[in-house]
Amino acid sequence: MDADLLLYLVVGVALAFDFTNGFHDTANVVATSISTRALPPRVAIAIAAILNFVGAFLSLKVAATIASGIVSPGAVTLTVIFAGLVGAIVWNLVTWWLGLPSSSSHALIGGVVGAVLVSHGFHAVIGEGLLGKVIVPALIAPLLAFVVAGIGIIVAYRAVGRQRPGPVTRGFRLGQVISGGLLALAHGTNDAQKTMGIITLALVAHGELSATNPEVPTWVVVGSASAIALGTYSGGWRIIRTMGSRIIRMDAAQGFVAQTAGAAVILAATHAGFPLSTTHVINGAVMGSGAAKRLSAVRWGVAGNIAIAWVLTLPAAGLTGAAVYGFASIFGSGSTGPLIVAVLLIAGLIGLSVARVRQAANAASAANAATAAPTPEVMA
Amino acid sequence: MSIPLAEIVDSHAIVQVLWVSAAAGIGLSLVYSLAIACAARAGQQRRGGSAGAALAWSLASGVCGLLCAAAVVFGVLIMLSK
Repeated sequence: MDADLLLYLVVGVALAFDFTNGFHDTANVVATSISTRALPPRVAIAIAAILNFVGAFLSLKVAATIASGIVSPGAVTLTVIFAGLVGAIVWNLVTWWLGLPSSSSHALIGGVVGAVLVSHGFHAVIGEGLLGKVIVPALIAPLLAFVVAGIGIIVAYRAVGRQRPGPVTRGFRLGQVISGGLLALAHGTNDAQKTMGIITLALVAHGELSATNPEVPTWVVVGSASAIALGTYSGGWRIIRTMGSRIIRMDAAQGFVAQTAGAAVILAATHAGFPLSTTHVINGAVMGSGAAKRLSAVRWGVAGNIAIAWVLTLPAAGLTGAAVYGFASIFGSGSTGPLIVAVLLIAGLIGLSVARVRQAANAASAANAATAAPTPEVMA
Repeated sequence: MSIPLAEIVDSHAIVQVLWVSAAAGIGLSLVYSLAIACAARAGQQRRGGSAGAALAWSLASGVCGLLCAAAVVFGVLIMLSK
């Protein structure tokens, strides 16, 4: 009964994490299509949500890597997975609060590894898997996307030559419908599989699946696909409201090439079973297509922040996951500790939301006061 | 005991990701751009009254478009193969 309750809690938190992953990453998937006006925002978001759902069914290789290639499945308990998930969520919230562009995927893997280290020690972490299947591919992928998009845009500009801009722009906008769809498909397949892998690990820990060769159940695939698609759709409406100011300006050719390069890298890595940060890959592709045209087009400060967040995320989420496991373990091995952590997490989320709303209200009233105050010219 | 990085990293898979990403990303960008360029030239020829040349450019554009579609379908089929 106690273990069942803990399993429900872990599955619920994992699906919530998947939902927030889709919610956060909508911008990455649809931004280029919307900014170049290839698609109206509502259509772009609806297509992205549907293709995120479809993409989750394409492959299970990343889920297999998460479920059996990074930590020893036999050494994983439900409390460990819960602590890893909470560690990832807490780190995501911290980076969201500080405005750092972080990777949900790295946070999730870091959180689980940190909790496993505390619970079972170094021997339960598959070092070769962590380095060879996560760290090295995660380092290579954004650079690869940058280079592929950079060469791709040079090749594209050369190919279209001095044709009239009207038909060329229309052509690339049409191409963006396809490349944007591919990117959403790629995002769905790589990111949803991470949640599938975590839930599969939980089922192994609960004794419902074999630890030697765990297979992802169909309900896990459907649940993870639905959660990421719903998150993508929900995140989109927030983006529509903030459109126009945060998105990098790019032409249709750059948008097409960035999406194509990003999708190519993510799909190729997914097929090899590498759990990538789709955020970093898409950012790398967008920067590559911008840098090839003009180096100053790239916001190098943002690129630096991404690099800092990349280095910090795995160890920081690991420390958070370890701390959560340590705290939950104080209350024994049952569901009491995780339940207390869940209540604290919800309370923290409410507190953060209230603080954010207050901050926004203060900023709005300060802006209103500034516009209402008479200017020196008027006073004169 | 230290394990060499080459043994830890699946270099075969990494190399495969590198060349497949480059071939797909750059190849699709090139072929689709050629499709657009050929379609634009077809339009020019049509306006200039050269129906034959317009047809030839349109055909070239269509072939490039079909190549792109085939590449996308092939990629998805590869993903579906277990």
